[in-house]
Amino acid sequence: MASILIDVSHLTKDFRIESTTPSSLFSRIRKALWLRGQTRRLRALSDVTFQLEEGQSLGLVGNNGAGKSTLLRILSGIYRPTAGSCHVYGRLTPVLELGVGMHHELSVRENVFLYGALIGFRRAQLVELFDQIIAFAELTDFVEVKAKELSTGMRQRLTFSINAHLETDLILLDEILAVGDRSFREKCYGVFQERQRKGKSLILASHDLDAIAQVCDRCLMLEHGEQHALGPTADVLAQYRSDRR
Amino acid sequence: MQRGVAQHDYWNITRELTVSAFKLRDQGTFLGFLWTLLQPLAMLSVLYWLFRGRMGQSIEHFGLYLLVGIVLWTFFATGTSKGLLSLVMRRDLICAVTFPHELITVSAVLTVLFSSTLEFVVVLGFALAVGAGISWAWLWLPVVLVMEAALVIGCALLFAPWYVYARDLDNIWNILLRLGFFLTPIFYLPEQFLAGVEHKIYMLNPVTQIMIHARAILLHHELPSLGATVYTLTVCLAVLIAGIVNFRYCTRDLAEHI
Repeated sequence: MASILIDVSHLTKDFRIESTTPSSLFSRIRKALWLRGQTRRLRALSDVTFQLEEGQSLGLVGNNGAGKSTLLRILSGIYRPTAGSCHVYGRLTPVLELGVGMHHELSVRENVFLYGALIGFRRAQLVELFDQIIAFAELTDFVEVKAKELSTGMRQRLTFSINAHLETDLILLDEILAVGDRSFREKCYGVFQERQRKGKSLILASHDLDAIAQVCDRCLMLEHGEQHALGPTADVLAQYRSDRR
Repeated sequence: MQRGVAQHDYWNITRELTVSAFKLRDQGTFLGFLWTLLQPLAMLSVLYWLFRGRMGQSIEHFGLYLLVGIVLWTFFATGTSKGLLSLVMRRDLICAVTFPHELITVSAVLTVLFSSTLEFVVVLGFALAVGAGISWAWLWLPVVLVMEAALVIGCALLFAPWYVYARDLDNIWNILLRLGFFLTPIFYLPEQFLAGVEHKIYMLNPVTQIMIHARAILLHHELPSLGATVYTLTVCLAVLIAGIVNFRYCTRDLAEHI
């Protein structure tokens, strides 16, 4: 029996929307003294419960503002839950925004080593994988070019390629299959399938239902932060499509 | 929550962030690193010209005395200022990439330390040029720089998370630095102006102690006293530990507020 990789139980996340901007030392002191205006709470996730086993792939679907990105950020450890629990039993790679972490004034080579270090590569690993990373991103002729000279798509391909070469138990992807042209997307699917063959897991948040159907065997549907459906991908996508009509 | 993000190589991240920031800082400038040197040298020229007559007469090798003070103060002021801004400047990373965020602040300070170390090499050349001589005591200089680095990193780790919540903190810190410039013996001997309790309070400033240590080594070829070293080291380490604890406590919800 496959072991549990992610165990999310009654997860709730609230954000505080502060009424006073900009934040200053004075406003902080007023807040501490309870003299400040009200703080509004926005519930981004409410009572979400699911588990993910090793080797499974989970799709996250829902309209904008449904809570998909918030859920991925909680799983990544970027946000803390307000209530409930979220346990991750394994190493994960969050790919939440492609292109972030690249410095436009640095070359492609320098960015590979900088961004690679940030996401968890050791330098020796990057030296070994460098040619593969560049080849996958289709940037062989641009290694010494500054990142600012690349197109947005090229920068995103490079970020994805670096992440794809990091061997972890789980990869979290937030709407990243819009990257690149059709052939690059096919390569991405190839990476996902290869990971699945190795028993690695994946969570993909996307509006692209075809991509979800192709990659994920289970699906979680969120609406206004609430869990509306969880189950086999075909069933959840059918419900999602019917709800949208 | 049990966290399972990819294991990070702290040293590799720090090195990459520091080296890339250093490269970027000197990129696009014709004189590159020379611009970094120009600021302390320009300040040295002005202060030497103004004070050589009165205060300078009672201080041996006044030019060297000034340069040591300026370089050490510049490291403290620039390092803490860059450290304070560091998290907000890398908001993109904090909201999207999972890695130890204190390394952003530490590497911001290390970039300044790298420049200051190069400036200190110039100081050593200046010491030889003005006939201050060379001695085994110079070997203690790296320890003095490390103590100051610990102090600056500690201050940066104390301030950087709070700047996320109070964006006027940089203005307040700049005012304090302006005051600190005059309350630290950069261009005068404290004994010329202060005595008794005032002098004792004045000497509590760790940056003052660091300057006194460096000058004892370069001007008098003496190692700082054990008592002064222990005091300075204790203060620097206490600030560093306070900074680490503060950073861990204040950055738990950083991505939501930045």
